[in-house]
Order: sequence, then C-alpha cells, then structure tokens
Amino acid sequence: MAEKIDLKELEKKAYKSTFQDGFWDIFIGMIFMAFALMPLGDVFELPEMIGMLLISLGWNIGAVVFMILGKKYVTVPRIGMIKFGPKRKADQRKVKIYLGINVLFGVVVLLLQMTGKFGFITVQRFALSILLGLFISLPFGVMAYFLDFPRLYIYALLGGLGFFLIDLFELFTSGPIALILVFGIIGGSIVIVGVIFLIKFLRKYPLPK
Amino acid sequence: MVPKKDDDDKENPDFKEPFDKFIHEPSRLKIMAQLFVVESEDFIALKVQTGLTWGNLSSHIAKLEEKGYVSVKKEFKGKKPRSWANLTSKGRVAFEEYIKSMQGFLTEKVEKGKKK
Repeated sequence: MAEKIDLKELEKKAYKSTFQDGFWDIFIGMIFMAFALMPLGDVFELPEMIGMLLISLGWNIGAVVFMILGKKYVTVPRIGMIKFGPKRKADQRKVKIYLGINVLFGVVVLLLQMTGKFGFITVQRFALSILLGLFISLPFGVMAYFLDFPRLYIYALLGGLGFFLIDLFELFTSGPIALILVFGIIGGSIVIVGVIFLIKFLRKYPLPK
Repeated sequence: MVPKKDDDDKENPDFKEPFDKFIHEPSRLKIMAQLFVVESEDFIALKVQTGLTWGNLSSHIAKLEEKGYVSVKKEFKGKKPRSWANLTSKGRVAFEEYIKSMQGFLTEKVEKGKKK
C-alpha cells in the first residue's frame, strides 16, 4: 500500500476527533464565565454565599447539559461513536476519580468557609490568589494530561492567572467589576475558540444523508 | 495492491503468499487497522475514519464478517438503529499475523535488494 499505516497515529487521530467539535472548549469557557456571573446574586438580592452558589451551580449545570446535548445531537450524528481501548478508559476513570476528589474538597472548604471555621486563618491577599489559581489550574492541568487534550493546558493556565489579574484590576476598580471583567473575558474567549471549532466541524462534517 | 512474485519466487514451486491477501485489500486493511486500535466503532465513525463510501464500507464489512474477522452488533436507541463493529479475536490474531508477515516480507525484500 502506498499509504503507510501507523497504528498509534491511527488511534490518536480517532481519539482527537472527539475534541474537534469545540464542545469541550465551550463547556470550559462557560465554567470560567460562571465566576464572572457570581456577583449577579446581589442583583437578585440573595444572601451572598447562597446567591453565588445558586448562580454558579445553575450556570455550570447549564454548561454540562449544553455539552451533553451538543455531543448527542450534533457530534454523534456526524462522526459517530467510538469505544476506545483499556488505556484510554483507565485514563478517563482517573480523571473522574480526580475530579470527584476535587469537588469533594471544594465542597468541604466551602462549608467550612460558610460556617466560619476558617475565621481564625488569615491569608494574605497574594497568597490567596496563588491558592485559588492552583485550585483551578491543577484540576484542569491534570484533566488535560489524562484526556490528552493539549488546548486544556492553556485554559488551565488562563484560569489560574485569572485571580492574579483580578488583584491587579482591583487596584484601579471597585466592587465586582474586576471579577466580571477578568473571568468574563477569559471564559468568553475560550467560548469563542470553541464556537470557531464548532463552525469548522459543522462545515467539515455535514449530516450524512 | 498485491505484490508480484519476483523471479526467485516464480522458480520456487513451494511458493506461498507471504501474507493474508484477504486483509491486504486496501479498503479491508483500512477497516481492520481502524478496528484494531479501538474496542469498537459504529458505522458512522468507521466511515469517517476510513474515508470509505457507505457502499464500500458495508460490502467489505459483510465480507469481513463472513470470514469471522469482524462482528457486527445492531442496537436501537429509540427508533434509531446503530450498528457497532469490532474485531473478533480471530480477526485480531489474523491482523497481528498480517503485520508480522508484512514486516518480515518487507525486511526480506530489502535484504535481497541489498545483495543484488
């Protein structure tokens, strides 16, 4: 055969095709945008923590639903479904376990914060930015590694940098504007990247007749 | 593209095809290679990944199924049917042997070429 068949490359190509629809990018962008929407709780005059929780939870559930529906009604009819081998499955399992631990850790920290158990700890603003940045960058970085999804490294870095940028912006602004601007721009840019990928995907793979 | 017997081979009455000609057919080779690297794929994915037409894909899948190399499972999601294909263990072994014999064949040809 004139064409050389590289089996590893073949598997990688099939695997990467699951990320070219842009839905992962849109999903991650929406998650970052959730931070920008948190201050909206004030608009509805909800208690601070509850408002933040309700809005970010609602928005994130929306992001998950959007991705699931997009994959089901846009991606699968165009490029079909592939069940990958044991290594990919094991990696995906690791991502799920790691994310589960992260969510659990996040919930515990949030509960402790809400009940005032962290009152005795004083953290410097800059140190808090590092902690929050790591809290975002680490899980996304680990996901990028196990999912073999390189764009996610950039998103992890952007998300982690967000809190530093907020600190910087807050030197010139007041109220939640910095948070809205920084995560609105980061999340929005990632969503735009996703939409571009989605448009390319729709052009490349029209619905089979 | 099946390799032609060279002069040395023609003189040899015990000549055997160096590899499975059934798998060597380009479309079937594409399907076998694609299914070898995954657990299973539905027909849409198989069509996209191999670049074959529907007609080609289904006729070659039918031949591979007949030979016992591929198994096809049909499932229904609501009213929509979805056909999944995967390599059988016989097909997996046959493909591994094909790769080995192909590598051996090519190495042998290169060595022969060097000697000439």
